[in-house]
Amino acid sequence: MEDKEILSIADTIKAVENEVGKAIIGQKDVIRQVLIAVFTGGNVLLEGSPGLGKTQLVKTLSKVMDLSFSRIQFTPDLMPADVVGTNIIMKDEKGSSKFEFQKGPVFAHMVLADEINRATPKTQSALLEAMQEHTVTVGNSTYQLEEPFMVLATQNPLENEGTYPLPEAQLDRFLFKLMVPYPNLEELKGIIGVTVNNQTSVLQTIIDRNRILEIREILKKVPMSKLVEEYALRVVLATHADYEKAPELSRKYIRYGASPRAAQAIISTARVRAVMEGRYNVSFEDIKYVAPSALRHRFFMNFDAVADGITPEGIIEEILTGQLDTAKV
Amino acid sequence: MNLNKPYGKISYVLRKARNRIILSITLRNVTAGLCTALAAGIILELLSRLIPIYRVYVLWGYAGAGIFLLSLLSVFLFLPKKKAVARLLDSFGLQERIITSLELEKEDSEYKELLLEDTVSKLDTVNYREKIKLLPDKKLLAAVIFLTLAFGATVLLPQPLLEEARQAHELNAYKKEQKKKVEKAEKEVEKNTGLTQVQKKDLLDKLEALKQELKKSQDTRAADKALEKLAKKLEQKIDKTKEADLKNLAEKLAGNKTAQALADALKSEKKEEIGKEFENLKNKLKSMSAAEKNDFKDTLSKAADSLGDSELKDSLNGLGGALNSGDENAVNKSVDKLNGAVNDSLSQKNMNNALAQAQNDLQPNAVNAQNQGQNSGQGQGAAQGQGQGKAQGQGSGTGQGSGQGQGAGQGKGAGGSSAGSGTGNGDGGVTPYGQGGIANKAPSAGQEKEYEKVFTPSRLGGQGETSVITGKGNNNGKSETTITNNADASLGELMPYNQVVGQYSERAMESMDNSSIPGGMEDIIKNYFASLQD
Repeated sequence: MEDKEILSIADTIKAVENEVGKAIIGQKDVIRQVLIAVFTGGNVLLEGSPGLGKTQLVKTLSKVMDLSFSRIQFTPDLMPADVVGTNIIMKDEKGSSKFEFQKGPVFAHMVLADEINRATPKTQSALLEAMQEHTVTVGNSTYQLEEPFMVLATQNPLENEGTYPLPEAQLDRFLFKLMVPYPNLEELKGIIGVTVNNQTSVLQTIIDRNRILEIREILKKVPMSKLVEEYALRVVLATHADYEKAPELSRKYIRYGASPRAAQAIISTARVRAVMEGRYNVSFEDIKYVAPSALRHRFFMNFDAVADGITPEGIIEEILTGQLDTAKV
Repeated sequence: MNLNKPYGKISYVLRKARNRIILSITLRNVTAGLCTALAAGIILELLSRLIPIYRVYVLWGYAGAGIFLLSLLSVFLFLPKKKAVARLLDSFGLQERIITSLELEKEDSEYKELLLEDTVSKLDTVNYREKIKLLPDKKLLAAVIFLTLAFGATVLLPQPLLEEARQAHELNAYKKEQKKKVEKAEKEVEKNTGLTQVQKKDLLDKLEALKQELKKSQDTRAADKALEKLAKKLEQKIDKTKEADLKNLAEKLAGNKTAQALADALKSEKKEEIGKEFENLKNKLKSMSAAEKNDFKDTLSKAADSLGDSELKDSLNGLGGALNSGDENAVNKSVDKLNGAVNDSLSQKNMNNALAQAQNDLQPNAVNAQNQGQNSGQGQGAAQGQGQGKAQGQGSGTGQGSGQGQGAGQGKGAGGSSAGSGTGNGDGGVTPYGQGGIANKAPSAGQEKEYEKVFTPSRLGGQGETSVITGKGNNNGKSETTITNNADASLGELMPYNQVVGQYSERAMESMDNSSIPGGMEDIIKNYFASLQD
């Protein structure tokens, strides 16, 4: 690998980011984090009110990155087969019948699982294998999903009635959980301009799937100091109430701490973020940047936290500050 | 170091930054040390107004110097390592570039060259001189100024306990010195092989009790009293009779051919040798002729007459009686008994020596005597007419000297430590024991002075040989006159003036110690006796 190639990665990612920004007004941080997830190779759970451009974001991304895209609207009556596909009887030219696998919408590079919490757990779990193993098993056959594959699921935090909260095991398979904020005035004006006033913009393809896979491999090797790595691991450990250096908030309000997948997520996404920032090493800032998105859905708080109005973000902030203090030399 | 190479450049910057950090830490620690020293000074100053503290400034000087030294030494505890400096520089906006570069130094990474290039380019943008300031912390500096002013203010406060502190310090020093003396005496007692275990224990118990008393004493006077009390107790235990008897016995026996070897052994004062000679005597007595036995009996009888100790006397008389009876067993038993009595006398002699040694060890020093406005030692030697320098000593020396044979032994025992040994300056006076002492105006070492002799009734009823006059109570009786050899018919004796005054002085001081006399009166009495030497 040549230095020139590494140098071009930051430019490429920057170009993708700019291109997506043409269609998605505001949400810079969400776009950036989704891109981090794309180049890390992980799934993203987007949480936000309806109409914030979640679907548009995924569509735009697939277009800019020349990836296939499918959208699944999760409803209570959605069946697993509707997601992964099913075997159907087909007649060939000779007139004999045989089962043939009809691929479901999951067979795409980018899958938008819209309002994932409205489907039954059975249907939700149909996505589990695809999200983690990037394979789909129907009957006795297992089908490999084409890389890059990622699921971008959305859920609406407002309408909880008739929803099925995602089980912990499934939540853990999302690399990031991103909170999509409501746009400010300027951003809202921009959105109106693009959508209502028909100020269309032509999106260009910046990158293809092969290049994405190449970049992923290169970014895995971004150097990380032991100090920074230890900091990331301490942050994850501090989400456990029984960790000796856990802050008071963790001890008091956390029921279950984050799994080792959280550490993997933080370290791998921090590497991508470092390069996006134009650096060739991971810094504490990178850890601080990715940790909230990587952790907020991975630890579970008790009833006291709900009663006291404690948010996961508050605890994470406390952890990030506290653990950095102890990391000082 | 090649500054053109990335790692050379990084190391150079790290070294420079490290030196700056060390300077900064030194400055910080020294300022903090100064703060602590000033705070300690203020606390000491305030405390010295509440409790007596001797030489508070000297104490603060030591404490301050110690704190300052510690603050300097503590810099070594904070010496930053290379990685720590890298970490610090990274925190100035380099975002862990240096620390990651250092970790990659011995590793092979595809990113290494790019990272180093990036790090070196960023190094120039970091102004670590501005971040690592060589100025003391503002808060610390403000604290130094405030504490300096506060310290200055406390110095101006009146010091009502200054004199009390000085006295307490002197008392402690004195007690310490006296304690050393007691411990020295204890060691001497423990080392003394001539003492029995019981004697040793008795002496050690007394010395231990003295230590406790010294510990409890509230002033030097009380400490001296404790010393004096013990000295008196020890003196009471000295029994010179047995010691003198032993000498007399040796002299008397030396006149007899049979007992010549035994006399020599007694003079040698060696217990084993004496025991051996007593065994030899048993054998000799068996083969003695009648004339030799009579001669030996006479010697025993004369020796018995010359002794004061009843046990020794009885033993000698018993041996004489046994020789008369001719019973060999009785003779042997009597010899053994005599041996036992001699051993007792020897043991007492050892005890006497130990007691004298302990007394000598426990002499209060001249410094203390001077502190009490008295000059203890100087001129004492002259007072005894010895002028040997050895015969210095305190009042006890004088008292003992005069009472037990001036200049012969006690005077010497008490001497040695006084500054004015034998070269008195005429300031002699009352010793801290409260015993009188007479000083010579200008004695010189080795010089003897003859004092005018004055009559003293001290020998009235003195020791003489007891004579028994027999007679019958009737009207026709005749008178008999018996002339005794040793009777002292005189009613007194002529003694040197200084000894007489010394004894009077001693009695007066004892009386003062044993009764409550106003402090002012004591001085008058002491001055009076001091003036008598003129």
